Amino acid sequence: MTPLWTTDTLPAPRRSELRGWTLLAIGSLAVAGTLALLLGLSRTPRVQDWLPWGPHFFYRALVTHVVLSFEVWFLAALGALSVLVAPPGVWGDRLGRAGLILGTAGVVLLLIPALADQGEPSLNNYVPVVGHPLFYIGLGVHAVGVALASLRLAPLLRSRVVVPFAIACAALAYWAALACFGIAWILIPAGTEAALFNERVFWGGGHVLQLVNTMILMIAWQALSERQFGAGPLPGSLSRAVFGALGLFALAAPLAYATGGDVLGLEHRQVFTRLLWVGLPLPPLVMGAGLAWRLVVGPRDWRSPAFLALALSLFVFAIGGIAGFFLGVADTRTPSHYHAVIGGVQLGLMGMVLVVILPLLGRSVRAGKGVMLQFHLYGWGQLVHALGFFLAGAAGVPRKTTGLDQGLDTVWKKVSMGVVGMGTGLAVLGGVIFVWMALVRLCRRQEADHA
Amino acid sequence: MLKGFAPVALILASLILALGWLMGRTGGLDILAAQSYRADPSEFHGRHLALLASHGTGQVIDGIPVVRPAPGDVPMLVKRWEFSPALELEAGKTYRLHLLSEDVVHSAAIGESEVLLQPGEVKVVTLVAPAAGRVRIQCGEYCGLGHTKMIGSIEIVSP
Repeated sequence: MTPLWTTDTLPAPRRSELRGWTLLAIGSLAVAGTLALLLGLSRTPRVQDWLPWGPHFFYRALVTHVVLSFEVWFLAALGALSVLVAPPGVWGDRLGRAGLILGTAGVVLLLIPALADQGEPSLNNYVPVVGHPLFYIGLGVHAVGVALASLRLAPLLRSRVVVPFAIACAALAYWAALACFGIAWILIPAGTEAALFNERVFWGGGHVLQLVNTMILMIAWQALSERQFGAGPLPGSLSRAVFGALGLFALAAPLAYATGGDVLGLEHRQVFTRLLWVGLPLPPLVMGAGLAWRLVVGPRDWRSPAFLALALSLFVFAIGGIAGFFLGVADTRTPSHYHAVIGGVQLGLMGMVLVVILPLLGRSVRAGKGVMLQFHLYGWGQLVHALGFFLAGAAGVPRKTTGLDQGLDTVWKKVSMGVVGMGTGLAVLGGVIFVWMALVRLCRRQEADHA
Repeated sequence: MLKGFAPVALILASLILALGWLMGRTGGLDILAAQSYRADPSEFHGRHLALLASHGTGQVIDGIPVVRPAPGDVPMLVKRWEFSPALELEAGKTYRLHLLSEDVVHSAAIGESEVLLQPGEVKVVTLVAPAAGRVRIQCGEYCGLGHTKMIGSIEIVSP
């Protein structure tokens, strides 16, 4: 059956732009993975004595790793999705090309302080930073790049076709997140201490970006379900409603700066925490239920990358979502929740890259054992990882700590953290296979499928 | 008809939830009830030192002195990345923790509620010691690289 939106062909400029965004997204994942390896070595006894960098490198590398794997990967993916549906026209092409150039230049700029050992790292929530002008400029330039690419989607907010409407809603939510960052920046008094400034300037917008990430997953569910089953998880009007509902909350978010009290106060912080409690669960729950029904009714083809991506992303995301209702104050149940939900989004995006984007670029990946292995390793690895964190957090292990600071004084805590390590290993293997498969094909000069 | 009703119902429900969220009617805030007053840091330090001298147990946990105060007012200094002193509280007794941040904005998350601590402003929270175990107190406001390690010690002891 023909997909409900067509991606059979793209004009050459759009194909080139799509390749650029996809390279930026997956290249960022590759650099983030390399930094994760260096982070591991930095914490390995004896090995760390031989490394030429100091202890501050650890935190700078951690910040850069998070920004590349959490912000740039998702936002560059939004850039890639925008290419798929942007209305044809010279202005759209120009906005997209300018966006890609800025998006890439921003990433290069923000990498410089980390690699040159400059600036104070800050592990604030959502968008951790290195306190160096180049890092902030890089973040800003990258954000503007994605904003330009998504600007051309505005006419699609009236589209009756689900995927274009959904991607336009994600773009709208992204603009709302930018508005939150900007308003916070203006409202925070000059001279505010750096840690508090970073935490609060990225707090509201960081929450709205989680709406964007959720929409990216749901876009993947819609597009992959159309590929696999010939129809989306829900009737078209209901699908558009679930995306519209998330867009509605994103649009309301900047208003919270007027109603949610002092931008540096506790109430303001909790208002945005409640945004995710109130605004986030219902739409993915409705669409997830529809998808679960499609998966149960079948046909169930466990060898199909689209089916695997749909099933695993739904399962991992749902487990993470449920964990979100049982969080503590600052223990590892919080990373358990967000690793699982973000793992779900990653699985959906992996499916989009392998099933939709690479074939469109004439660079298909054969649906063989490598693809199956990659999905299973990453999906189950993330699940095991999250389960370990949840058990450890329930026993009182604090988050964002290492070594003695974790206080692993019982067998339960030690076993739980061992489970975390095992899950990490499996997920990293799956991630490496994905990045390798995608990068090798993206870096080829020729388009094999169309050659 | 159901097909047409579901999207409208979803959007309506979201609209009501969004309005409720903006108007602060979607759940209670986890803000710890507290009184506050301005304090001179050196005077507060004096109270803190007096508590250590009068009720110190002589023990130290991670460099923080341990005290077993009498029920009532307990001055507690908060700074990167510690709550001082470490406390041993008597089960069932009521204490008033006077919390003062010395350097930057911190918070005290006690149990599932939290109070923000601005430098120079003392926040007073009432704590009834439970029957046994420990009371978790930690910073919930990002305050620097050591933030997640900023956990105080409150242990419940028998009379």
